[in-house]
Amino acid sequence: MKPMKSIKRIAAGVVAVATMTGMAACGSSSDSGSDTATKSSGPVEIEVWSWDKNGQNGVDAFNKSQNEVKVKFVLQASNTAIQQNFRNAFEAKSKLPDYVQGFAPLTTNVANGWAEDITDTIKPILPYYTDGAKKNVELDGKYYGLPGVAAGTFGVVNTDVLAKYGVDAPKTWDDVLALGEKMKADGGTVMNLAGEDPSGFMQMAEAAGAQWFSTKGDSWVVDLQDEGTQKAIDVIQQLIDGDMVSNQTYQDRPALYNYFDSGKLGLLTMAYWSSTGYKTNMPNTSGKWEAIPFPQFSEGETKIPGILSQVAFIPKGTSKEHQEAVMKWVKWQCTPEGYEATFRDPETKSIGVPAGYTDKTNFDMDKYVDESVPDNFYSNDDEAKKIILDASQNVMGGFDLGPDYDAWFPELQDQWGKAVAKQITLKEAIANVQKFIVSDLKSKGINVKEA
Amino acid sequence: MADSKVTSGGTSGGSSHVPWRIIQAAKGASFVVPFFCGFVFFVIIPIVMSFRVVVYAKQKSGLGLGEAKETFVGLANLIKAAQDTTFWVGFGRVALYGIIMVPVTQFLSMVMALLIDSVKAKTAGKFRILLLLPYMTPGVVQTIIWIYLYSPTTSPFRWTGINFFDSNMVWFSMGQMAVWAGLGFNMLIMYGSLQSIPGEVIEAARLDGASEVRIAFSIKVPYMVSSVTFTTLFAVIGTLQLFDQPYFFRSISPQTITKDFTPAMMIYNQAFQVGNINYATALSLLLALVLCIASIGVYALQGKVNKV
Repeated sequence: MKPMKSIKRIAAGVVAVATMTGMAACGSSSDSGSDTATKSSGPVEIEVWSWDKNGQNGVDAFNKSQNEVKVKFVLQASNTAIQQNFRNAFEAKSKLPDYVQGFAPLTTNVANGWAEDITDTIKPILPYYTDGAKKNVELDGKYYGLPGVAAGTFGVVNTDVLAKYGVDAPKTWDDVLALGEKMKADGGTVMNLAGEDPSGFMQMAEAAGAQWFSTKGDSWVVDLQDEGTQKAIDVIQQLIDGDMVSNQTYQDRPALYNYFDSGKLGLLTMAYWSSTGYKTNMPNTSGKWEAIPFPQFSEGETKIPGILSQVAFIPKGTSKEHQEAVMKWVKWQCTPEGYEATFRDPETKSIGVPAGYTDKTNFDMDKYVDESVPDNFYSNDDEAKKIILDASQNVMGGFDLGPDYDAWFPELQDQWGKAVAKQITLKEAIANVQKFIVSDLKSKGINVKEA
Repeated sequence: MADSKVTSGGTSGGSSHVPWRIIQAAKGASFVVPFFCGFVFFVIIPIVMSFRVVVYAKQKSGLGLGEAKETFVGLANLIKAAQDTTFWVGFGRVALYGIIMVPVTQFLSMVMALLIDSVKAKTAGKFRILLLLPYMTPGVVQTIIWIYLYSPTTSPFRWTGINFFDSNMVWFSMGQMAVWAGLGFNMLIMYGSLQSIPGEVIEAARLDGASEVRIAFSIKVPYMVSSVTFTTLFAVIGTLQLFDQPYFFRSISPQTITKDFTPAMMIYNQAFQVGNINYATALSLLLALVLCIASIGVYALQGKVNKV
């Protein structure tokens, strides 16, 4: 459906912004003896785990900029490596870092007992983040992670396709369906639904107001069949039944780009960071993609979905003093010089668009958005910049992925694959996933109710 | 000084010496120390630990936030695993796959070994390396190679009109990858056994007028029985633990290759995605039991063949 393969890829890909927000903090707390020592003898030393290969640069700049906190940066080989290393350290009850770059959703971090409740110490940095970014790290009224967002999703439509059928760019999903009907007659498809990637469907559901997981008292309420989800199901089922979609897999990139570039595809949903790859690999249609806001379920709405599945956190047991040190580091990243030092790649000079931040950061957003737009990919760069800016500032947050995301997401992939292949309907598929989630939570002893 | 004399003299035959044979044996054994350490740390110790892990289960309560409590559940995990139809259906799949794939791979490996054995040593050397290359290629690289070989867009075989990514072609495509990857290793082991055939036996057969085909079937193949058994055993074990190929195809044909498609995939899912190490361990022990039975079966078959 969109260039991201899975939710994990969304967060991993770009946006260091989301997870890196705090790429700064992480010294393990735990060591109360050393805490006392550091109080009297110098800066508080914290340890940060991250897989950002340029992370050391930002840490060096921060360490030079002040004397209160000294960050020790520990580079991890990859997202997978940081997850394995943290799990191993946690299970072995060895010394944990003070800050870990995100590798799992918020509730997973809390459910596994990894993340510390940082409600008391997070206050100094909250004004720098949007409501969406804050909602992404809040559970049951408490903060368990460093604020962040996934890059907001928007669309691009092939202007040749629009001209051929004499239509305007779609604003709603009804418009998308109408365009799909027209394209089908000529063997084209309005969208691509990869059989392995249900993330686009999840985003549609989020935009339609779905909330799959919520808490009521000491029980989870699981509702994958609410009105919002049903709206998304209806649209996608019509696309599938009407043969209006292709099913190119992200595993086979050459074939995927080849199809996207063939002129047979009408609409792509994407995040801004995908544009460089598209421009490189889609020479025939480069310059013909008109950026549009994410299609809405009703005209006049302005929902920008984005589901954050990798939340940076402070490990359980980290002392208040170290938590505060982490916050100082994260707060520094919310300054223009801190953001530049932390996220600008010294080799390529590239940098992500800050997302989920408020004006209080004083970031020069226009500069970052300008840099994110490659030459000759969008049909109208100025319009694209407006949409990217909007997506980075107003992306939604708070779509809880529940305490067993790692268990149910593969099940969703299985069921989604069957629905896309027309073996079952999407409604049946989602009902199966809900059944799976309820059963899985019960088997783990977790209280659960179906809405 | 006196001590050192005794020590140095000891090696040359004094009464307090360490016998020469023992020294030689110790030297020989030292070569296996690295392997032995790895075997102990990465096989024996985990197996011992698994017997503890399997009798516990992690349970949560309420919203399930925070660390789970570990409780003793006895054989509950093993009983649940034994009754898990998804797991046994997965076994059924790999068994069917193995019934076709193992003989095909073994037959092709045997043919390759015989062909290489029949050419000059220099030529044989070149082919040995060529055939072994896929086996030496890392899994990730193999995957990339096959993506391009199978891709409807980039495949050099697209002129055939076959879509190797089609869900109906998944088994064939996976089998082809497995044969490609396993052929070289099997061939090398079989070829090694052919090298141990005394030259005079072959020569005598030729003098008696036996054709090359007759020599192959009547002399070479019987000599290969033990190596065929060995490679068959590995092939059976590999098949029952089938993971790489279906994992690769999961993205391409998710409606067919589900997360629990093979026993190994189910164990992986339980251990690293669901996070239920206890149950994954129970499934692993069952898999080990099946592998053990299959291995005994293969050796029993070899025994019968040898008697014949």
